[in-house]
Amino acid sequence: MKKIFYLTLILIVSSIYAVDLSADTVISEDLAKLMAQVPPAENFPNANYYVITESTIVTLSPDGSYNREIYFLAKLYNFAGKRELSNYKINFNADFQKVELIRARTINSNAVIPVNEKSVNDISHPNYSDAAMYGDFQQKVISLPAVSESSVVEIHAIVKTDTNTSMPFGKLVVLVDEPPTRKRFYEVKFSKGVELTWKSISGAPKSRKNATSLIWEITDYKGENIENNTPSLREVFPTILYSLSKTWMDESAKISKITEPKIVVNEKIKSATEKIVGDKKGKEAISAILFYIQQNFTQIDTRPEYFGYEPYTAPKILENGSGDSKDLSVLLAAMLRAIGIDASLALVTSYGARIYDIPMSYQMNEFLVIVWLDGKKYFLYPSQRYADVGFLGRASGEKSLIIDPEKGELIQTDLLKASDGNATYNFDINITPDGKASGTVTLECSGIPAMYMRAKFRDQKKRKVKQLFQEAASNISSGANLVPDTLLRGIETNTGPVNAKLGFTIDNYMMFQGEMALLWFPDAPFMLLSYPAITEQSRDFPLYNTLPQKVIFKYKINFPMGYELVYAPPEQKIDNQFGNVIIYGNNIDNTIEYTVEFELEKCRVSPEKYKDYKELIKTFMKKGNRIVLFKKIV
Amino acid sequence: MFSNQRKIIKTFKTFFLVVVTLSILTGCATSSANRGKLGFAKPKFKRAPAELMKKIESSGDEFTVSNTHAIMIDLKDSTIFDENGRMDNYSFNLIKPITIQGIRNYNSFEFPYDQQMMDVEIVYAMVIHPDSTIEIVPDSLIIDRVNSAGVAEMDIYWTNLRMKIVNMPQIRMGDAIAISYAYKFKKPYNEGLISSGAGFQSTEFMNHAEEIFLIPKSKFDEINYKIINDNDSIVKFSEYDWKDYHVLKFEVDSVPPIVPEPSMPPGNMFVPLMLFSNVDWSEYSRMNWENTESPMKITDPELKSIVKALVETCKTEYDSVRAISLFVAQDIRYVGIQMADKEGITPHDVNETFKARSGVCKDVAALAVAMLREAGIEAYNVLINVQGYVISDVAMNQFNHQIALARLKDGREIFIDVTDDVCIDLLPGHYSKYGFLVLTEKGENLKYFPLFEPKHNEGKIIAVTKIDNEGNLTGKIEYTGMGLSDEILRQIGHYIQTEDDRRRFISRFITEIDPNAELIDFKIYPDPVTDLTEPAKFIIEYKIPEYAVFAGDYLLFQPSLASQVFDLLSMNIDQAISLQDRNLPVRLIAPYRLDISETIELTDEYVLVSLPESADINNKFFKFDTKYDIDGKNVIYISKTILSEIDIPLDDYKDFREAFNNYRTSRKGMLILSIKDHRL
Repeated sequence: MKKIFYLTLILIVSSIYAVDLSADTVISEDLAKLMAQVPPAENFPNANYYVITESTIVTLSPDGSYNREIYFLAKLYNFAGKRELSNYKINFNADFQKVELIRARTINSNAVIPVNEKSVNDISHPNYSDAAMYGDFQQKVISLPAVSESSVVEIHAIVKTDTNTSMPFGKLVVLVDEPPTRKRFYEVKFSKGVELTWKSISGAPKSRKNATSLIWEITDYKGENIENNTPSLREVFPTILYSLSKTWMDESAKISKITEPKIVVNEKIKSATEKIVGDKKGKEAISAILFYIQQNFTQIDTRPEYFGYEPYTAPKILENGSGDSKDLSVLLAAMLRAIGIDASLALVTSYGARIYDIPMSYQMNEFLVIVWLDGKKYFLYPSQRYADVGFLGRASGEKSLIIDPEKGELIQTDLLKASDGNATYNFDINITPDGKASGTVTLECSGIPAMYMRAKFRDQKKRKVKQLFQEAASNISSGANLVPDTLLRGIETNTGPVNAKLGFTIDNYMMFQGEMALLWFPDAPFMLLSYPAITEQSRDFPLYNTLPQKVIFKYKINFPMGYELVYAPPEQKIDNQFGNVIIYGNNIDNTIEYTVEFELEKCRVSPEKYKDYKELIKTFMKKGNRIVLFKKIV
Repeated sequence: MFSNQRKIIKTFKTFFLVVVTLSILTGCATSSANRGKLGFAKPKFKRAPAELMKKIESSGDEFTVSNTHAIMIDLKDSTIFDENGRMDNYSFNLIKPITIQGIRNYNSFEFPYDQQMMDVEIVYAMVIHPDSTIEIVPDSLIIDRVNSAGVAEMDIYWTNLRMKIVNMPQIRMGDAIAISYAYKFKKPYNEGLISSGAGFQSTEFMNHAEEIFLIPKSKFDEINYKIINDNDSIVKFSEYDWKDYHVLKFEVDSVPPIVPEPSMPPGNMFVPLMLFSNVDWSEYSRMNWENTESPMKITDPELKSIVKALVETCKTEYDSVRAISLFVAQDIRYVGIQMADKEGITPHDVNETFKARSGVCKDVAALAVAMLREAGIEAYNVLINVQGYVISDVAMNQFNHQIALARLKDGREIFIDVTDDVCIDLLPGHYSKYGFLVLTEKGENLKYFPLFEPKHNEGKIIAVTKIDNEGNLTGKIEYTGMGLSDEILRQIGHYIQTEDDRRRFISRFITEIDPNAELIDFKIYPDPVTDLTEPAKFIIEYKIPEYAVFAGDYLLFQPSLASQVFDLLSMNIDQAISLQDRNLPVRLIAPYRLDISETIELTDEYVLVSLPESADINNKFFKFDTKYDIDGKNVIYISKTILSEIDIPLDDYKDFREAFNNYRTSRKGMLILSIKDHRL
């Protein structure tokens, strides 16, 4: 290898390497030394790669534009690492950002191969392909050449951001997460006189601060391998947040300055609103407008930190027939104001992440609307098609930022409880002496289970609805067939309960084994339950159940004469801070009646308390709580 | 691989029209528009004419037409070919959404295209309101972007693949949408090839659809066309001469919509469609051989020396094939970067693919073929369709993947999918019935892989378990496989590489046996799983506290493998049989066989009272049997699952479903033990 001396910043005191573009196939001695010191893969059996250096320097200019210089150097350990890093991606919004690639290369033991220009492609971000009307959000994909499972990959780039009034300066950065890291460096540079608000959370170090920069640095990070269903990354990994706003009111005012002028109440909006509302008043009117937008507008997924905060005007949104959460909220607010309802925009995290007390709005990703009516406040979620007035989903119990020139503040939202909605199944089954069962199951549900049913059935073709009922029957038990004459009510609106009923027959439901016989309680026809699995024996990280649920199964089973009950699930009750499981029942003559109740709150479960959560789920799923044993009467 | 962008356009959802093209050519378009007809040309009228409004109103609504979100009132498509096979396609759609979902579905239109090969022009898009006012979509609402959705996920980053997006203004019930667009090819994919096809059914109701092809008269004698899957004779055909063209016209009326069903076959196996081509398979093979040959000359000395090194210790020709194939499969990663002209079908220069150590299927297959030839082995590129079905009646592009073929001196043919880096057999076990075309200088005919035997994909699970007096179970499982079963084990080990992730993945399975299950140890062999000299194997050790149910004087439990949680290939069948009634047959992934044996050591204090009934399910396509043997204080559970076919015809579905449901039921039986001295 040619050795060419060139200027470099000394590794120990500097955060990144200066690059000599003319010698991209040569590596410096310092770099070679660093690579030689990378610990072997055996030291990190749960790592796919090792980050040698990851450095970010953000430089804020007085005019509001800023650059983000990225340097990334990593050693791959295996195929999964190769898959993850061989196509390195940098997100940017081409409307106001440019990416300058300074260096990208693969360093193997026998060669250093810089990327060629054909291997650098700007593509529309695949996750936001239907958001083209909101901006040109792209990915610069750097397909590194000749990457093997032991390569070192090196990327150096600058993302330049123009002055953009719809993107307040600030960021939430998870400094390190799963991969082990020798050094993670993050610096924000700014002019004298500029004051940044910042916060370190979840174990991030405090920043080193001087008059014109904030620096965070983590060294010798051992890496983690998080389990499934953890809270958002910011809650479990060292994270920093920074912002130019001093207070939440500042932050709200910045955004409000952009959004408020778009909440235009003109004749078009008034006339459209009047048609929808008719002579409804108060909460009824609010509900009607919300439903109109949820039903009639195509929802598009965007994030403010990628696309900015500037919505279309309300009349334009009405014309468009589609919108992201900010657009739909602007339209909703305008229509509410058209009938004199006090309405403002609000921001939440749709996935239930914790909001920290630093005025940095990118902690939140979704807009909705808050109204004040008769002394009460209600949240309205126009981008959630099946949400009733007040529903916040995963955002419930977390904080919300009111976007309002006068009422801007961070408020606590009410926590949705399991008892705020539930699903009750009533099974009524008759078994004939040959073991064949026939029966019905009814479902009455409200809250979240009702939303699931609406999402499943509303707007489906007739044949599809028939298919869904057939699938539901086959979920009850193997071999179950649907008996026509089904019922489904309450799915056309977002308010009130949903009721369903279906009849079924099941061959071989009661299984005979000599003198004994057994059956299993039927399963739920509609999959309305979803909770974090308990596959781990213990956890290092908290577990997060993001939505509360409550399901009640009531079984009434008439079994054939000539058999006596030998075993049915014993009465049990587990009640802890995460929920409860209650099982009880009785047997009279040839009928068994049983109830299984399962309730789970929205909760973050610490590793120490995981065993309590596990106990709850285990009891609910336990085979012994689902089986009934009979013996022939001699 | 996008071997023909046209394929993207020609889904069985879109149907196209020609009349307007003819109008343009005869000078009628303008006058048509003035007379109130709507078609390809941008209309001049400011309000929709009465005739058009009547057509829209009388087309139906959600009360007269069921199982559809929109009515395709008029779909017209016209394609004009030149003698070289280059084409221009003009389309006109008149659509009326009739449900809220339909309004949402047609809020925007996407027109994907390959910039290297074609341009797309949106002639006009408009909404026609019930009061006959029209709203034309301004150009500002038409966006042109790189098309990455669906391809970036496969690591294909071809920037030549783009999309025009037309965002419609708000559509209300009663509105209709009219959209006219043109795809103009810059050049043909294959010089001299005149071919195309169209489907005549979609997931929406079709009121009327026309497909017109203008073929140069000088070329028409070469054309072979066919209407396929038209059991009810819905496709009306006519043909005539017009100027220098011979015109083929296909039209349909009142076609009911398809409602998709789980595990349904590819659309071209049941949708009425037409295909035509001016070549036979042999000529098509030859044409594509021409496309693929020139980039395959090895000039890189390093590549040559690698070939030499790979084969010099090989004892047989087959060993050499294996060595080269595995090098390409495992050292060249799958990623799509635009480098060549006709990127969709032309392999990159093999020296470039080697240097970059990356490419998509056409690139890596070509590299493998070049390396095999360098080693003196007769080798060819092969086109194949891995998601659908290739219709043999007409030779045209129906392919979406490329593999390699080595023809050995002993007469054997070795097919290799070099995009699969953990396939011990070189050809994956789900290739049953796939159509393929070997590309040779003389050309070859289309062929199909046979239906693989179930034992080709055999899995074997042996378990030894023990239940103690407290009802706790401990066990150890050994899982091996062949074909697809082997590949599944390897894929798990390949994609889930860290210890913790592997442990979690397997824990998910054993907690399906019982939520109380705990993984004690898990090992994958070989490690790394890319070592294809050894069969793959999982060893799983687990325990399940309180596994058995204490039911009064009885102890109940199942063999831990009786729940068949490791029967991974049956998940596909589960989905397929969820429907009682089907309108479409079933197509499954692959035939397979799974043999399970579990030896359960029983507790001393309990005695066996009752065993589950043995299952003996013997359906034409699916067999399952279980047996329980008693050997001292051991109970031996044995099960055999055999799926012997991937296509289940409608007539056989009911029996097949019943058989599989019986299989599911048989998984629920329990061993019933009682305390000693309490025998029945």
